[in-house]
Amino acid sequence: MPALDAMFPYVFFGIVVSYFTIVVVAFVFLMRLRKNSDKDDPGGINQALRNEMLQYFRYEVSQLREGFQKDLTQVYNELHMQLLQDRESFATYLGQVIRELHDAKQDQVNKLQEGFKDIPNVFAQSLEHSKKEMLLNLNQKLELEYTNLHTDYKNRVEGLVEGYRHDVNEAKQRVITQIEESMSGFAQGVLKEYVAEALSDQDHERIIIHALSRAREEGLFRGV
Amino acid sequence: MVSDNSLLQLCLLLQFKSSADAFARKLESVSGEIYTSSFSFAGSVSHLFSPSEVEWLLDSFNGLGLQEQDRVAVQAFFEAVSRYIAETPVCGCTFAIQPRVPFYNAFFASLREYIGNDRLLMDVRIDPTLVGGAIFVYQGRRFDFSLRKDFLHFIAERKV
Repeated sequence: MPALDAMFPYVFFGIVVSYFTIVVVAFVFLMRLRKNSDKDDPGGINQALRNEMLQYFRYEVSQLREGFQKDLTQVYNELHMQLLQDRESFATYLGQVIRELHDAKQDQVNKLQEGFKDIPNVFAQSLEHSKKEMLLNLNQKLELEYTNLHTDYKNRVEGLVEGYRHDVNEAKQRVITQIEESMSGFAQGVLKEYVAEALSDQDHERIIIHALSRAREEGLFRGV
Repeated sequence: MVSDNSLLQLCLLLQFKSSADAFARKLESVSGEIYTSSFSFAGSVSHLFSPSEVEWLLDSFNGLGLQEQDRVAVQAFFEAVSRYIAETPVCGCTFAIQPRVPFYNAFFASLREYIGNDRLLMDVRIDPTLVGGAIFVYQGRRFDFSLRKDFLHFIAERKV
């Protein structure tokens, strides 16, 4: 259909040209014929014949005109019908296209609307997914960092422990010495102040005699 | 030369190693005067030794029938006494306080009894840090019976 629509101007132009060509040829033929009749007036075609031929040509022209008109009308009608059909088909097609477009648009609109409806969910899902990925990456990163830190921390701690162990042993010895000195000082100070002074000379002498007895019992003077 | 009994009497007289050392130093001092013209046994010892020591020296000196003109014999006497003192066993005794003299007599008697020998000297030292009791050192052995040791043992057992 679109091809016929495109050919219609050319066909119409060809018919018009043919029509005018025939009219011009007939006019030229008549004019020459009239001229010849004028020349032949004295001894040429008489007026009756001229009229008869003129009628004949007029009839032929009218027939041709009618024929052309019929053809032109037919062509026109056909073209018109074709055009109508084409228009109808095109309208149908256009309607279909419009409907399809409308449907597609509506579908897209619906989809968009659905999409808009799902946007919060999609956004939430995206956020959740991103969050999970971030958490996963963060977890992996943290595990790696934790492993590195743990290894580094372990090495540092082992070194520190060795140092601390050495320091602790030294400190332990110092504390033991201090405790012994403190105990000795306590014995020398507090005991001397509160015990020794609480003992009378007789008490001291009895304790010394008791100590002498213990020395004898424990064999200090044995084997002499 | 000098009888054992006489020397034992000297030990009982001296009792303490410090007294015996002082006695030995005095003997050495007197020995330095033996060969001087002004030497007199009684005169030399009387201004150096205590009365009881002078008495023992004179008794021992006279008991041996020695003459002060016999300087060699006098020197030998002094040397014998000094050697006896140096070779006499010593029992180290450390107390927290300075006991009274009567206590020393009783203590020394008990000590000689336990050892079973009158030839004995006490090397007494005073250490107040003992708090009480005594530390004995005899023949290379040491026994600590002080209250300080008992207290430290008490603390160690209870992990105070």
